[in-house]
Amino acid sequence: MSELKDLAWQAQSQSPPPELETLLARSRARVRRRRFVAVAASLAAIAVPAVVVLSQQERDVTPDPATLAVRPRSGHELAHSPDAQLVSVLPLAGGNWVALWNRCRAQDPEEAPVCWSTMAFKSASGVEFTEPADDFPVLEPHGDLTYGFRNVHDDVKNRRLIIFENGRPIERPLTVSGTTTAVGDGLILNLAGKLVVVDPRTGRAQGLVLPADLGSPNRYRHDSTGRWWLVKNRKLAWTADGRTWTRESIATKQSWTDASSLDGRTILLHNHDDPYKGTGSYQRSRDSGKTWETIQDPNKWVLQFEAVFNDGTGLVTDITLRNAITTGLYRIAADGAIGAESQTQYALGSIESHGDTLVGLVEGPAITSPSPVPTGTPTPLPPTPEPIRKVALSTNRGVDWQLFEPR
Amino acid sequence: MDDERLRELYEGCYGRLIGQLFAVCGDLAEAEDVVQEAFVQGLTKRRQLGQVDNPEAWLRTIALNVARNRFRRTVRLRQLLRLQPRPVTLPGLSPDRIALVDALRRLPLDQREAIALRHIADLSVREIAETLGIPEGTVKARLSRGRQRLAPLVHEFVDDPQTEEHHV
Repeated sequence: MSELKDLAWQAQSQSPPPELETLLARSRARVRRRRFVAVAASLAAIAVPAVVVLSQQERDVTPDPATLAVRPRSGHELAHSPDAQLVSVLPLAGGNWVALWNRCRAQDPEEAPVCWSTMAFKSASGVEFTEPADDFPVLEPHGDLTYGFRNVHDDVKNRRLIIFENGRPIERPLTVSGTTTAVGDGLILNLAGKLVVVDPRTGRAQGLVLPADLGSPNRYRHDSTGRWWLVKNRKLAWTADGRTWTRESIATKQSWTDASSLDGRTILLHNHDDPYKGTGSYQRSRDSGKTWETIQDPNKWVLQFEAVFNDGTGLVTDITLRNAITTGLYRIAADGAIGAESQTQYALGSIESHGDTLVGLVEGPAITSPSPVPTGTPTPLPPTPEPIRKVALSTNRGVDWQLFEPR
Repeated sequence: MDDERLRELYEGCYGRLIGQLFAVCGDLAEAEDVVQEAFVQGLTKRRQLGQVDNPEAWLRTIALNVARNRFRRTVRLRQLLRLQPRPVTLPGLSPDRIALVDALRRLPLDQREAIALRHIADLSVREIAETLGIPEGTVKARLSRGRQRLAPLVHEFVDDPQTEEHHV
């Protein structure tokens, strides 16, 4: 058994569960308290206000707990709340972007917080916000496409598809029935581990039946030529219609990270399926996967490809920060060699690209020393990190970056 | 959700959630509070609990939200009061395991969550992304950084270049 699982088992074995009836009683008391607070709030709202002269002490009242966790009145209000946090940001076509904000508050310190989220999106109309929702939509960058889902693991009636049209999120109910081998004008999406073909106009989806040798692909992408391609069993297979598949041999069995140019002509694949090992080389194709070259990486870093362009350049992150570096984001030269850092001022995470545009969450100032290795001697707890609210955006392939808050 | 299913769910997953949240909280009493609070919260929405595809995953998400909220309050308070880190209080732990708990506590919370969900709850990267509402790339980066920092204490995290497979 692994050390972590053994630790978890030891904790579990020393914590017998309380009687279920105890927790049921607590939940019933909680429901009664909420109903009382809700009724009191309603009565206060409709009562005829009386003119009362208050002393200074009486005026300094704490916020009504009932209002702490209520639904924000708008996505704009949510994103501008003092305790709002940025969860993710994705670039879209045409220089647009979408950012997911959330805000979590608890009416009672002992209660689970209630979380609301909104998508802030920039389109030709400027920055707008979706209505607050009490769930977290999952947004997927997918080559030249971006889409998302709500409530995938919840009641099937509540599942929703999110697609972006001209930078604006459009939501539709998502229903899945039957199977198909054809893609047509649909989108191949990964719905909780299963590939489905979705009609974006209606939200109706069918399970995608892949050829037997391509089942359960590790990775799949869409490019601007309309091609869907995936990596499986030392093959890069692609299709435009779902029926006819072309297979190209590749050197790596599976790759835990990849990047491709917008039209899919240039593709980078890792030489390993283990995201924790630096193998000292990676694979690059300049002709949509037909032929491949091995690029050496003498540093043997654990690479995460962030972007690649058809002139061979790109950006890559050394995600272990094993070396004394500042940000971990490096440029790839035209010959594939990993060179200088893209910028040295702040640590970026969750970097996503779309064409020449890159965007990433600003996680903090530049890191100036390698990750510390635990020595077994207790040390002071690290300071609470500040909530993430800023992103860095580059529209010229990571040469220049600008910071802003996407709200 | 009917009473029988509810009892089965409770008896089946309470212990698992304790183990997972212990790795996140670093303290058994805190993990117990968090998991029990998640069940209380879930029981106030019993109809919804009966309709979700994966009730255990739903409860785990609530527990992580509670843990995150409490962690932020606790760290600020300890900084204000200049308190020392609390000792590991799980009886019977070997020195190696105590060191592992301490190392987990010193990871940033987001890396701790990713490590617990991947290596204790056995969730896939995709499932972790859906639980935390973040892109898969972010999950991978957090996992890799967390593993790097825990490598001296966790055998499976050791990067041994001598034993790498080269797919050429």
